[in-house]
This record gives sequence, structure tokens and C-alpha cells, in this order.
Amino acid sequence: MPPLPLDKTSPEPLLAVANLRKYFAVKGRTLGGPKPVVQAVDDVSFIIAAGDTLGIVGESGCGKSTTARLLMHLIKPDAGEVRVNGKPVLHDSSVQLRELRREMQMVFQDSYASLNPRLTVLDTVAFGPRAHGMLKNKAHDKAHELLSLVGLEPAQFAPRYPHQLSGGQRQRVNVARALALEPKLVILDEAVSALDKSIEAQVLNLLMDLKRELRLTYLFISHDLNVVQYVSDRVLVMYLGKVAEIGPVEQIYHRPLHPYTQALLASRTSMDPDIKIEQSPLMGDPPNPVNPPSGCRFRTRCPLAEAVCAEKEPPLTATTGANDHAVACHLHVPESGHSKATAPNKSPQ
Amino acid sequence: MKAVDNSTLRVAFDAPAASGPALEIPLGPLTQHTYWQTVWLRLRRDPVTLACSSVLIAMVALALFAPWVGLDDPYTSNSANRLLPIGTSGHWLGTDELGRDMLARLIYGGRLSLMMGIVPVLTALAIGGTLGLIAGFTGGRVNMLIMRITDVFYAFPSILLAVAIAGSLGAGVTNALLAITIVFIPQVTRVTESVTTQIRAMDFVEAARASGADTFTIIRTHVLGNVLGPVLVFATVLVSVSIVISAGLSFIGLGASPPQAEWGLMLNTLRESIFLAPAISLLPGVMIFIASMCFNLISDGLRSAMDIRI
Repeated sequence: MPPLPLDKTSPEPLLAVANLRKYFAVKGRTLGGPKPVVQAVDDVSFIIAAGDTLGIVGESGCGKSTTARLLMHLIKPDAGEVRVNGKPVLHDSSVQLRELRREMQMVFQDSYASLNPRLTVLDTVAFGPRAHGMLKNKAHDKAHELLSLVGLEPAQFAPRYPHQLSGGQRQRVNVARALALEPKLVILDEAVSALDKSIEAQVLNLLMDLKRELRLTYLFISHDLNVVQYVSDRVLVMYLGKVAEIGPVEQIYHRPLHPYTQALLASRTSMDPDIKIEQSPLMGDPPNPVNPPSGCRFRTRCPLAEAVCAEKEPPLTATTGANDHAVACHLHVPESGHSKATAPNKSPQ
Repeated sequence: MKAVDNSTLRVAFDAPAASGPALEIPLGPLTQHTYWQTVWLRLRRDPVTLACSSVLIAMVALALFAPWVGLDDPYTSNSANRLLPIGTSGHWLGTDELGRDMLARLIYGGRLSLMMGIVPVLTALAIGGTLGLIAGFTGGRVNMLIMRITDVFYAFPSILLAVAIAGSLGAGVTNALLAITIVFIPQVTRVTESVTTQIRAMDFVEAARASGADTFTIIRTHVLGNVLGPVLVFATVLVSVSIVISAGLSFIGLGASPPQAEWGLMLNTLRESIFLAPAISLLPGVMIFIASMCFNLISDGLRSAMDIRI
């Protein structure tokens, strides 16, 4: 296994991802030309220690959801390694994948599409355990238990169909389903994004309670910076399929190093109505991931881009001050050739 | 909420953010209907579908119990009583060109004609449905292979293809059944494939895969139930098409053979008498029309009854 960046204190993190890569083939190949691909996830590495919550933020299309689906092995990665509790996960071995399913579960964004319209809540929640060989009665008891755990009165909700539930209730069912196999890690892919604010808060609180009670580990994917700040211990910022910055939540939010992270945070609307954002901190759309910019992928929108940024891709470099904070920017690589490059620990600004 | 000092106000503000059970308005025990119960409830309020179903049930029942309802023998000819008009006492629907009782022949004819309408569709449903499920759920090369083969069959109009297959196999009811089945398999495959492809892309199938269930369980629990509805609607239309095609095959001598009672064949043998007794010559055609029409209308009714967001 290649050395992981940011190896934290724990020798055996719950989840270790190294150099994960997934390119999707797209249409529009010119005759004899190279096959065009979308570089959805490119060389992504991170670890999650047991009990932690890692938040992944980024714009639409930056590869957040693809990362989640790669981790769940719903799609096959092109390259890279995923280790769960130190054991590598092999995509080709279905036995091992079945074990993996028990360790890792996922909650999807669209609460309606992720529930089978023809199954009752009870059958939906009991499906996982039954697929793993639990007897019907036991699985049903378990489903009842889980429904009360997520705050749905089993007697009332177990026989219902998804269309008889509200959005928040459906997402609770999705959480119950994900917990049915007693996973250690739950991937929440925009799990609360589609809910309205008050329901979102309820479900978030439920998730935090569950995490404490069941000692879960979360991978929390969202585009909502405030929510990520609220739930995460560590944050990973993605841009065009690459890791821009990763670190503890306080450092990312209070001392962002990557210009992209800084721009993202600056684009948040303030809770104070008197503070108005006069100018958009980030202009334009992300470049086409079929043909990403050379060197640093952010350079086309970066206010500090220089020649070196187009030439060399900045490596994800640990900041010297904090050993679990890393950033992929020439500004923070000493002697990178960037005129403002400094040792990162000296430039809190 | 920094400046709010009023304790009651604070409670009101804090309540929604509190975790735990969602605020639920307590409801009495819900009367739960499964999907098919709901469909039935809606069908019950559809007079056209109900009427068509009654007509068809009557037809099928009469055909099944034909020997026990006191009809004349459909094969006994009587050259003295040829082409008696409709309403003749003892022969309420007249007699055909050999003096056989038309009522008996129409009812006995229903046995063969309805059977030839339904059996090919059921067979095609089993084979084409399985192929479509496999193609739709597997995707990729398997899908490509199966669907391109069905495309070959699609290149021919169904009647032409049925005639060609039946013609090369030789005349006879079994061969006609086989020909129609072969014509229908690609059609059922295509419909099943397109619905399955849609369902497969849904998040709940993905979630089922994520839970580690094997492919067979996923198809059985999550795909089949959602695919069945649209395919069933299509199959009902196919029955009406099948009745018409099988009658057509018999008409041109590729299906049932004389003296068998079959609507298409009767239409053919009565053809020569069309100027002598036009009303009688039309009767088998009327039966084909009614049966085919009923299946068509039932399909429409089913389609709207199943169009429920559940």
C-alpha cells in the first residue's frame, strides 16, 4: 500500500482510501482520436478514523457522489485501493463485497427514488437483513426496532408505502434501512439536502444522536457548508475530481489555505443581514472535466494563478504546522516556483 | 435567538430543532391497500372495462362449457337446412353453407380462437419477459446482443412475419401458435427491456445492491413488481392482436383446417355465400371484432387504473 498522506494517530483507520480514480467514457469521440473521458474522481486519498465524521464539500459535478458510489463499490474504480479496517476490498470477490456491505451503508439524496414504491416500510427496512439470511420474523422485529430508533412509531409506519410518507419520514426510513445491517460506516450522500430547513435540522439531529448511540462513523457529503461545519470532525474539499484541501473542520473553516476553499467559504451568505457580499468571490463555472486545465485544475478561476500553476500539478502537501491538514496548492509548497509560495505554517495571513 | 427573554417564546422556537421523534399528528390505523387492491378499486369504477370484462368472461365461459349448454353439434351438416337466416326457430343464428348451426359453431369456434389469442401471448410473456428482464438488468453487451436480435424480427410487419413462419412450418393450429409466439417474443422483450432499464436506474435498486443482496433477490423483490404492470397492459393489447392474426392465418389456410370451428376459418368458408346470406357470413367477423375490441379496451382501462403513484 502506498503511504497515505495524513496518516493520523490511529494505526488502523476504519476506512483508508488511496489514489482512487474513476474516469467515465463519454460520447463524442473523433475518428481516430483519443477516447474522451470525464475525470470524475482522480487520485483521491483520505482516511477516516473510527468514530469520526469526514465531510466532503464541493460544487456540483466535482466527484463527491462518484466517490461515495466508488466506496460502496456500486461502480468499479479504475485504480486505487480501499481498505476497511486494514483489509483491502477487492471488487472482484463477491464474498468480500458482501462482508463490506455489512460494514458500510449509504443513505441516498432522493428519499423518494431510493424507496421501492411497491414495498412497505417494513419490507424495505427488513430487506437487507433478510438478504443476509435472517429469518422473516426476526428481520421484522429488527425493522420495528430500527423504526423506533429513527423516530417512527412502528405500529403506525411499518405497514405504510413510501407515497404515504412525508419527505422527512421517508429519509428516516432510508436511515433505518442503512442501519439495518449494523454498519460501522454510513455514507450520507446529500442525505439532508433535499429536505426543507426545519426537517433537515430534525434529521441532522437524529443522525448525530444515532452516531453517538451506535458509535457510527460518517462520511458526510454535502454542498451545504454550514451543515458540513456542524456535523464534521474533518473536511475534505473537492474540486474537479481532486482533493483541494483536507483537514480538521476548525482549520478548514477558520484558516483555509487553498484559494478555492477560501472562495467557497467567502461565498457563504452571512447569518448577519447587515453583512452583504458585494462581489462574487468565484466567477464562472468549473471547467469541463472532460478536458481539465493543465497543472492545477483550479488555476482558470484562481485569482493568484501564475505560470507555474499551468505547468505543474500541485501535490497534496501536509502543512508543517498541523500534521493532518493538507492542501494541494503551489502557494503552500515551499520552492514551488510560485512568487508568493511560502512554507504553509508561516502564512496564516 | 439571543435577545429573546420570554421563556414561552424560547420554547416555541426551540421545539422544532429538538431531536427525537418527528412531530406526528396521531392517526388511527390506516386501511392499507396493496398496489393491486388499489388497482382493483379503481377498475371497479370503470364501466367500460367492467362491461368488456363481463363480455369476455361470458365468451370464455361459454367456450369452455360449450358441450354442456345444450347446443347442437357444430359438425353435423344438413344439406336441407343450408344458410337458414338469423332468427330461424331452432337455429337462432341461422346455419352455414353446410347447414351446421351457427350459434354452436361460433361458441365452439371461440374455444380455438380465444385459445389462439391467449396462449401465444402467455408463452411470449414467459420467454420474452425473461429475455427483456435479463437484457434490461444486465445492460452492456448482453443487452446489445438480445436487443439487436429482436430488432431483426422488428424489421418485418408482424402479420407478414407470422404468415412467413407459419407458411414455412406448414398449416396447422400448433404451427400457427408457434408462429404467433415467435412474432410476439421480440415485442414483449422490447417492452420489458425498456421498463426494466428504467427501474434498474432507480436509487432503490442501487440501495438493494448496496445491501449486498444477490441479483436474483433484487430482481424478484425490487424489479419484477415494478415491471409487471406496464408489461401486463401491453400483453392485453397483444391478445387482441393475436386473435386477429390467428384468425387471419386460419383464413388463408395456415391455421385451423376444415371442418374445425374457428372464427377465421369460418369467415373463409362463408366467403362464398356472402351474397346469398351476408348477415351470416359476417357473424364470425363480428365475434373477432368483439373479442379483439374487448381486450383492447381492457388494456386501456388497466393502463389508467395502474397509473397510480404508489
